[in-house]
Amino acid sequence: MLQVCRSRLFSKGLKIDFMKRTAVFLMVVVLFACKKEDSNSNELERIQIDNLESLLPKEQLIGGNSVVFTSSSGEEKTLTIEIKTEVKTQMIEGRKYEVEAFSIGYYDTSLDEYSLYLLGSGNYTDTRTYNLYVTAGLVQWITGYSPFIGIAEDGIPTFGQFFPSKEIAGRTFKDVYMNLPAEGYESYGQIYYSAEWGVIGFADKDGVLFSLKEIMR
Amino acid sequence: MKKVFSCLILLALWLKVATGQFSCPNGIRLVVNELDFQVNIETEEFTFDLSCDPCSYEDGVATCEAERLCKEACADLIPEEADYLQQVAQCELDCAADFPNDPNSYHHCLNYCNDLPYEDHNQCLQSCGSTERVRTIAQSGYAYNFWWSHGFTTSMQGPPDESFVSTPRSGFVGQIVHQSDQNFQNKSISYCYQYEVFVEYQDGTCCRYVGQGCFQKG
Repeated sequence: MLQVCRSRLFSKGLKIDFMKRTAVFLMVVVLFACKKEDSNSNELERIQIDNLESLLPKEQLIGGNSVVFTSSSGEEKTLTIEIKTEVKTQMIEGRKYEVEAFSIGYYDTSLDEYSLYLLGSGNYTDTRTYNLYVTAGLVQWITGYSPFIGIAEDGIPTFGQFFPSKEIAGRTFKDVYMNLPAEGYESYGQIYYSAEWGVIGFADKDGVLFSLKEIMR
Repeated sequence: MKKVFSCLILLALWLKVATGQFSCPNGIRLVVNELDFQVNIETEEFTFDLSCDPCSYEDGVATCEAERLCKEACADLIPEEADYLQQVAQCELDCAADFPNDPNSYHHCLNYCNDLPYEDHNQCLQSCGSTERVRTIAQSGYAYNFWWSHGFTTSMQGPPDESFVSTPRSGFVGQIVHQSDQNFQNKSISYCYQYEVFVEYQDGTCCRYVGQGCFQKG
């Protein structure tokens, strides 16, 4: 009898303990859900760019290295590489989000007239969807046109055109992206990109075409 | 020295492009509000003429088939040499008869005589770029890049500080608004921008619009 009573008491104690634990657990779950809901309402999911690896020449280009471009007549231009990996904060429809950005700048230290770049990053197009892209361009503010190429995550050029093979200033490259031509802009009007080598060609201020000759390590 | 050079270029460009409005020949108008960077794109009920850029490119060369064929057909209206000389001679006789006592008008009339035989041809060429018809937009997209600097601008080079490359979407892009959390309206800021908009139509033609400029505030 005593045994039964103790057992019942023990059982009742267990039930109360179980109820307490359940209540605490539910409160934690509710609090966590509220916090998560609150977080979701202010910030969007961070955009990561891992899926762009195959479109970026990370192994070929190293910060501080020089890249040599040459024209068909043998003139050379040497540009120095700077690499940056950042997380940027952006905003769409009043909601913030973070986005990873991997960029490479090509600078001619003797001139400030132009520079080249490539950038892998992403953007939300609305609060539910985002897209990743690689863009490569030539920056100059002289002619009123700075060519650039936009490539989607799947390798399709959304701004530009693709050539399985292309000759640029006497050299032939495979899987080449080029900007869409803009009539009337001979100088600084062209840029070429490959996922394997990065920027592989461009036109200078005189309209002379240069192609990648060497990456100096 | 390089910084001074960059500043001079930016200042010159800012003065040059600060108007921020671009008219396009086919019914689309882009208006750039540079204070907070918004590009508004306005259409006129999807009615465009054929003079816009084509969207088919072969080996980097753009060709507009419809316009090219139209211009080729116009070549039939170029007069033969004998016919040309006959028309000019007749015109000169008419000028002499019309302005016997007015040397100025007579000489003006003679100038017109040289162009007269080509009038039909010229009108034909003009019509190739201005024939209006209704086209329906299939898809569109845009990209933009930003380089900015707070305070006095030293240089805007290398990768952009903010970039956007859209995938094609059905319908029409109405407005481009930058996504940076930078507050353009309440701060002293200098920035340079570029954008490109494409519109593809259901008949296979398309238009591209590019623009760039620099803006300095404060």
